Amino acid sequence: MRPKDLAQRRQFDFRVVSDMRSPVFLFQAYRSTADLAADRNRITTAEEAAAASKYMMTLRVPTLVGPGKMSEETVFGVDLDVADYPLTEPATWVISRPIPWSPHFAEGRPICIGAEFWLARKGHVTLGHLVEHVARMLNWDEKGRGPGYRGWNGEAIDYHKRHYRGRSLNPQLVYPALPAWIYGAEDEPASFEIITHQRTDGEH
Amino acid sequence: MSKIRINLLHPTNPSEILTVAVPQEATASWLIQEMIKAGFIPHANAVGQYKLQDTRTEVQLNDNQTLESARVQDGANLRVNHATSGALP
Repeated sequence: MRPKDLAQRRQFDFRVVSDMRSPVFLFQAYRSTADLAADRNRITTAEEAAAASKYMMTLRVPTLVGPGKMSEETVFGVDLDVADYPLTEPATWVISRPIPWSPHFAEGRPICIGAEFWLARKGHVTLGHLVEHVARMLNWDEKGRGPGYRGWNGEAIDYHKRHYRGRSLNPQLVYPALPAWIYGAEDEPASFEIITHQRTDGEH
Repeated sequence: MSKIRINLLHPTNPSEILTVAVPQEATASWLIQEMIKAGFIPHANAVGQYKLQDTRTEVQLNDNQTLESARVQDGANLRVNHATSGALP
C-alpha cells in the first residue's frame, strides 16, 4: 500500500472507531508505542489520524478472569503498523490485568482473533469490526470451534461449558455498533466534528 | 446544514477545552450526549445533570434549545456546568 493510501486507511479506521464510542467502548490513538505507554500526544482529530497506528482500547464488557471471577473491563493495545496492513491483521495485546480467563487471551500473547476473522477478508475489514469481535470474545458470545479446541485455556472452556452451557456471559449486552454509514445507510459527515481537544496544563 | 465552531469548556478542569464543529440546529442535550460519547465528560451522576452556558451572554441553554435559537455565535465559548439536585438537610 502506498504511504498516501495507508494514511487514508488509518484516517478511515479512526473515523470508524470514533463513531463507535459508547459507554461500553472507548479508545485513545497514538503515533508510537512510546506515546501509548506514556499516554501522551494523543491523536484526537481525523486530520492527525493519518499517523494513528497505535491504539489503547477499553471494552467495558464483563468477562471471566478466573473460575467465578469477573472483571468489568479489559484494556488492550492494537498496532496497525504491521507489514501489508490491512491485508494482514493488526498486532494486539492485553494491557490490563488480570488477563481474561479465556482460550483467546493469554499473558504475553496476541489476542487470538482467528484467521477467518481478518486474513480471510483480504482487507475488507476495519478496526471497528475488530472492536466488535473482541467484545464478543470477552462476552463468550461465539459458536466455538468444537470439542477438540482448547486454545490457550482448556480449563476455561470446560468451566464455561459447565456453568454457562454454551451461552454468552451476558446475553443482554449491547455491543459497540459499527456506524451506519459503513453500510451506506447514511451519507452524512459526523455532525459532532472534533477540531481540537486542548489541555493547557501540558497534556494534549 | 450549516455548521459553527464552538469551544466547550470542561466542567471541572478549566484548562481543558474541546473545540468542535456542529450544526446550528444542535440542541444542548445532543451536545452533552456527544461530549459523553467522545469521553470529554463522564455521565452525570444520579442526582446531577449538565447544562450549557454561553460565556458571552451568560445565557444558559434549555435542554432542547438549539444553538441557533440561543443565538450562540461561531467561535462561542460554552461552559459545561454539572448541576446537582438539592436535598433535605
